[in-house]
Amino acid sequence: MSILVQAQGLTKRFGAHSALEDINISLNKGRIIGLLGPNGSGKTTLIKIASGLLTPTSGNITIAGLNPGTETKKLVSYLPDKTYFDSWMKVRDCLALFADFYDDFNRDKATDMLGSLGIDINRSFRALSKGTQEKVQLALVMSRQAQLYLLDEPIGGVDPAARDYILNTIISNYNEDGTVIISTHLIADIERVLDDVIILLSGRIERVQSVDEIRAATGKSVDEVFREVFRC
Amino acid sequence: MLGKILKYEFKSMARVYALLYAALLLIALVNGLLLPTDSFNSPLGDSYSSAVSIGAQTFLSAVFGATILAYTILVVGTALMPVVISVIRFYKLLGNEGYLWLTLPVSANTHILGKLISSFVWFIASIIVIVISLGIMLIKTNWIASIPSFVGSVFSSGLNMWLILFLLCVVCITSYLSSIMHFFTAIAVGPNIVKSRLGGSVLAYIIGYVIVQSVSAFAGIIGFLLINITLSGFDETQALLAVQQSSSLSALSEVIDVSVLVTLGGSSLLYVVFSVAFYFICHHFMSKKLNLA
Repeated sequence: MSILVQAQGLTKRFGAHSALEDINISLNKGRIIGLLGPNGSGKTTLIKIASGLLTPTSGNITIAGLNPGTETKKLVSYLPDKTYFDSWMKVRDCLALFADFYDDFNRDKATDMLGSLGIDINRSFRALSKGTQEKVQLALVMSRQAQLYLLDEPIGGVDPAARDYILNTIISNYNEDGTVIISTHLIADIERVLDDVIILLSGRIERVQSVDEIRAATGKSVDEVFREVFRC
Repeated sequence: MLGKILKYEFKSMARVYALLYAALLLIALVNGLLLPTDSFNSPLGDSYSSAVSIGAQTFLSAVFGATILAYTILVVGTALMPVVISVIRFYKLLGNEGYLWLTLPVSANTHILGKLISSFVWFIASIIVIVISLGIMLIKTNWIASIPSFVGSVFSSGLNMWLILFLLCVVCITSYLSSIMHFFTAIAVGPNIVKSRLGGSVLAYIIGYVIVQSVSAFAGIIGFLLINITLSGFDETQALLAVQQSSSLSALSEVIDVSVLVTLGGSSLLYVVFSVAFYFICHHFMSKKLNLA
C-alpha cells in the first residue's frame, strides 16, 4: 500500500505549551483511521496542520508527498469542529460554493444526501440548528472524491440517533482509494467503522495500531482499551 | 480563482452596501426637497414664510436639521464603511471563517488580492454614491449649470490643473491601498506577536504606523530639499509682482508644478512602496506562519 500521509518529527508549540511533540507517522491509502485521545491531546492540532491552517514549529507533514498548501487542499476534504458558512448564505449557496471551488465535488450526490436528511436547500444556513448545520457541512465534505478526509469530531454535536446515519454516510460515501481520519472521543460509536487507530496522549503518539491487532492482542474493544489507558 | 473569490466577496456585502446607499440617496432626496434655494433659515423658502406660522417654521427647521444631521452621519458612514468592513472581514478570514476560506484550494495571494480589490471597488462606489447624493441634495440650487464656469475658472488659473488632478487621484488611490494593506498586515502578523489575536493586531498596527511615519518624515525632508534645489534660481519677488499685475497664477506655475510633482508624486511613490512592502509581509505570514485560532 502506498503512503498518503507522512509526518516526521512534527512538533507544534503554543508559547511554552507543547500541543504536539515529535510525531512520526505514515498512513496508507484506503484506510479509515480513528484519531483518538482525551481533550487537549493534540487531535485538532494535528488535523489543522494537515489542513494547512496551522504551521508546525518544527518537523513536517506531507500529503501525497506535498507539504500542506494550495495543491494539497485539492486533495483534502476537511470538516472542522465548528460551523463556518457566512450568515447571508442559504444551503444552496453552500452547495454552489463547493461546486465553484472543488473540481471533485459531486453536487447531485450532496443534494441527494441533504434531501435524505430532510434539509431544505432554500433555508438560510444560520437558521438551521447546530446539529443540522453540522450535517450540511458533513454532506458537503463527503460529497467530494477526495484523497484524504479529515473529520474533526463529526459526531460530537449530533444526537445518538443521527450518529449512525452520519457514520453510514461516511463509510458509504468516501472515496475508497482515499483515507478517512476521524477525530473523536466517542470511540464506542465509531469503533465499528475503523481500520486503524492513532491514540494521542499529551501531544505524543501513545499507539498506532490496527483495530484487529488491538482486539487480538488484548481481547478487548478499542473503547475498553482507551478507557484503561486514560483512566483518571 | 480570483474571479470566484471576488464573486463571493461582492455577494456577501452587496446587501449591506445596497441598503446603505439607498438610505443615503433617500435622505439626500429628502434634504434636496426641504433645502431652501435662497435661505437656510426657512426650509420652505421666503415666499412661504409669511404663510406659515412661526411654530410650523420652527418644526420644519427642526426636521430639516435632523435630516441634514442624518445625511452627514450617513456620508461619514458611507465613506468609512469600505475600510471598516474590509478590516472586519479580513479579521474574520483569519478567524472562524478561515476554516472555510483558507481550506479552499486558493493561494494566499488570491485571498489578499480578493479582499483588497473588493475593498477598493466599494471605496470607489461609495465615493460615486456620495457625489451623486450631493448632486441630488443640491438639485434645487441649479448647481449643474454652474459647473462649466467653475471648471473654466479653475483651468484658466494658469496652473497645470490636469497634472494636479491626476496626482490627487493617484495619491487618493495609493494611500487607500496602503492603509488597507497596513490593516491586513497587522491582522496577519498580530497572532505571532502576542497570544491575544486582537491585542497582537493592534500592536502590529502601531509598530507599522511608527515605521510608516518615520519613513514619511524622512521622505518629507528629502522632498523639501529637492524642491529647494530645483527652484534655487527662482525669483519669488518678481513672480509675485507678475501675479499681482495679471489675474493669472501662471508666473507661479513653475513653483507650484514642482511642489505638486514632488509632494503628490513623492507621496504616491511612498504609498506604493508601503503597499508593496505590506503586501509581501502579509503574504509571508499568511502562507508561512498561518496559525488559525
